[in-house]
Amino acid sequence: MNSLSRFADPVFCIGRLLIGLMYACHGGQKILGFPPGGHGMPPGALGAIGAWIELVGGFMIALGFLTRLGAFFAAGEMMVAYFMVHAKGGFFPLVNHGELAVANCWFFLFVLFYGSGRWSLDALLFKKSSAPSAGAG
Amino acid sequence: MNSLNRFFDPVYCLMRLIVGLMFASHGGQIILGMFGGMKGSGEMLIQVAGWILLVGGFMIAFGLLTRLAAFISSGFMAVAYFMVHAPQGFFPIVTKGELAVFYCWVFLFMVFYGPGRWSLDALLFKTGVFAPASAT
Repeated sequence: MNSLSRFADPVFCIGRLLIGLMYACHGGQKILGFPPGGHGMPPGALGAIGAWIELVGGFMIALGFLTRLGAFFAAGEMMVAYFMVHAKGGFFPLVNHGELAVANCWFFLFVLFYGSGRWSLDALLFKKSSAPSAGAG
Repeated sequence: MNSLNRFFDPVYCLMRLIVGLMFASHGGQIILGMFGGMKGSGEMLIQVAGWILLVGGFMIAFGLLTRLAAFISSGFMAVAYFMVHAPQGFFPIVTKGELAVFYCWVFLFMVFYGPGRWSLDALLFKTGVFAPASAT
């Protein structure tokens, strides 16, 4: 099955792009009111910080710019969101509506360790330090 | 940043476990009636979906025939997105299909990445499944 493993890194990059953009949409709804259907800015400083992490971090992950830094903040924010908002709603993520938060948290944690992959701004800008995960593909 | 790269496979395995179990819990809702059950779970199509969710989710979680399970689950999520969510708009956040897109791509990545080191596949079939480790 090594023939499939060869393409793990490109698929990772496309997945990172889409999931990052979807994540940025949450920040966009709060800060820019786009895409439509959001509830506006959440109250308090913590809510504002979260919204900016979603918008900026989402684009950093999507484009692969300082990927690990963006993924670190995004994963951390999702963990805080899960335990502050969802965890008290029950044990199972399906019941407390925190499934997306858990899923994003773990995916971004993986991005933090995996790196940006070969199709990323990091790989373009800093040839040396971001390449290792590309070598794993 | 190579020091972080050393741990990406273990983190991948934990992610696979958590994401697989959450995926399976949707199947549990449909097939086993857990979490209060789901409306319309008697329909044929929903039943088939439920079994894919339940069995595929557990296979992914424990890393048993991971690539096969991830391939079927990923395709199933793509169908779910385009059948249910896509007609409602362009943005996944608007169509409420974000989770479907997420699962679809993460499982597609799993098809290519493989089971990783902490999996039943790695225990049962020593050769050939655990490609990414040798590549690090």
